[in-house]
Amino acid sequence: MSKKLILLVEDNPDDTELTIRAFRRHQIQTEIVSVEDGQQAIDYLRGRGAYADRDLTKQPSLVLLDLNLPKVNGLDVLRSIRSTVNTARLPVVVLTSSNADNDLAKAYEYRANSYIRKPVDFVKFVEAIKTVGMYWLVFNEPPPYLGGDPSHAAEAIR
Amino acid sequence: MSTSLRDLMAEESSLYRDVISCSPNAVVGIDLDGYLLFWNPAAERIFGWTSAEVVGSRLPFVPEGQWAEFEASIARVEAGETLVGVERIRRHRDGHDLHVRLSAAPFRDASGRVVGSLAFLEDITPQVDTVSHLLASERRFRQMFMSAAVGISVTEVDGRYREANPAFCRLLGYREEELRGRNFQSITYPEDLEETVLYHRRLIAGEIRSYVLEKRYVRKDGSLMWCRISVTLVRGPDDEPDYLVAVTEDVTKRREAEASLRRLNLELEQRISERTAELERINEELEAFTYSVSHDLRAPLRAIDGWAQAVIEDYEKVLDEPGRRMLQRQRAASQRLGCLIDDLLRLSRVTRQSLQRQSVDASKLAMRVWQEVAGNLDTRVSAVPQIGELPKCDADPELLEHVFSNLLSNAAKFSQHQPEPRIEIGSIRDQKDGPAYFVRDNGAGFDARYADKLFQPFQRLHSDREFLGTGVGLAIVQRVIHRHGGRIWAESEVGRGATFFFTIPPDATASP
Repeated sequence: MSKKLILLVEDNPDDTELTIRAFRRHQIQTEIVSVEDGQQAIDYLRGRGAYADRDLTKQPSLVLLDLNLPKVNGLDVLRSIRSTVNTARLPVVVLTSSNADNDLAKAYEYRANSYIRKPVDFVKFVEAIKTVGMYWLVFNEPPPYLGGDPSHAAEAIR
Repeated sequence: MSTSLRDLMAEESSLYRDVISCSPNAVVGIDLDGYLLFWNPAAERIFGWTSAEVVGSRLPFVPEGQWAEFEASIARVEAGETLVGVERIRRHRDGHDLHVRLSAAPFRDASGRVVGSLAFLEDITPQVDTVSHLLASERRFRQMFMSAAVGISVTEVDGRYREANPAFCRLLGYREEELRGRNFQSITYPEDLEETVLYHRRLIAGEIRSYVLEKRYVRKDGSLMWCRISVTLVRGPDDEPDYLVAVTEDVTKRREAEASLRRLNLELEQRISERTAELERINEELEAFTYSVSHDLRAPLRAIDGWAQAVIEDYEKVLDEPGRRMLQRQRAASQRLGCLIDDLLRLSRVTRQSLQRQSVDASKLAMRVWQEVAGNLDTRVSAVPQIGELPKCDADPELLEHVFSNLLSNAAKFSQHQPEPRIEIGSIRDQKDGPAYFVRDNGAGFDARYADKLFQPFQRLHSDREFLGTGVGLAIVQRVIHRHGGRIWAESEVGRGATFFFTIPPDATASP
């Protein structure tokens, strides 16, 4: 069975590495692709720009999305994901330092699947990552037609 | 001679006698020697003497000092002259003067010889009194007109000045003669002319009886003056408009005061709106700052903690015990900073978030909060608080939760070292603010001298070694209470526990 793919959208290299480290510590078998800003995230998911050659049949099983991002911010990335046919059903977990009411409200409005506030305490952070990983990659049934032919997905959604 | 007059009188027809008896005027006859021959009933009524009393004597009604003039008149009449409508003063029997209008003519016998004189006297005292009253009244009014402190002017129907009193002249700087050559239109400030003329027309047309108006005049020296004028139209006997009377007061000072007040108000409003805009901008900045604190400060903190943990994990074999302990302390410090940031965020949120008041069952809320607090406590606290029957209040439940949560955490924290920790939640009736809630513990307490420092952020009365904390909790509690319009205070003694009281007064802004 091929490794599940996670798209990590995070501009802070420390957070990126610590998140990857947290997944490794729990031996959750994943392939983690990390991008540093919102535009890269959208390009990756749509197979554009630097990711024009990417195999679009292989879409991530989970997107971990920071909100405060350069260029295109996290909430706009989320909106773009939801309004694009073949990513509309992607599980997206917001993973951020912010717990501003406005961010929370907007994230749920744009149909984030979950909202996690990163704890400062690294031990708690690892715990959170483990829980998220286990839940979305192991226990959760993924939505149908993900990673398939985009036209297929479009049909299903219609 | 006198006999002949009397005879003549007697000879005259009864018609003459009747006419004389019925005359409303006194009719008096005297002979050439000045003795009274005749005294009709009107003379009795007017002068007070009866005919029987005076006929045959000298005339009784000539006052002292008038005799010479009287004799002269008699002489003229006896010489053949007729006097008509001469005004004289005569005396009543009781001594008071009477004004009379007198006509006298010579009395002749059949041969045409003058044998006496006949006088007709009309009592005009009432008319003379009226006229003198009128004159006195006229004098009084003239005096008033001349010395009045307010300006009074009389104008023709077309607006030309007929008369102006000194006060009016002083107000405008014109002499009265100068005003007579002008009309009110020519000295009214052009901007106020239209309104004045409009009122004037309505007054003349009979639509209004008078008007009061504040308007500007141009003084002779060209300066402007605000006046309050009250104008009344006076109609002639034919009911046609005759003239106008205007009373004019200088209200320049008042208008200036009003104008400066208006200017001041405007400036104040301007300043308020500027301040408001500034406050809004500051609020926005604060919002941005809070966001940045929340996000940007936490990220590096997590890195500090995370990499320290990573070193502990990955270099377990290389690190000795002191090295490991140092890294643990680094982690503890970064976590503490994390708590501090979280508390600061809570404090700022408590200040900014809008108050959603509703009826709250304080007993239930306190119980629920205690269960949460007890679940989070590091050390096991054996004390289960006694929760009395608490009155309900109108509060924001979320914010009130912060209050109980902080006070109960503190109570648990500061009583944890007691052999038998005790926590109590209850209420008293405060004389000033109605019911006051309290949270009491039997813990470490504090020195009452520092009570005012308790509620300031970052002020702590205990070291971290004794009790952990950020010093923000009670600041949050105080802000919540203040936002509800309530009071908070504490009583304590070192080593004898502490009691925190607070009130939540009814919502003053709530609509009934």
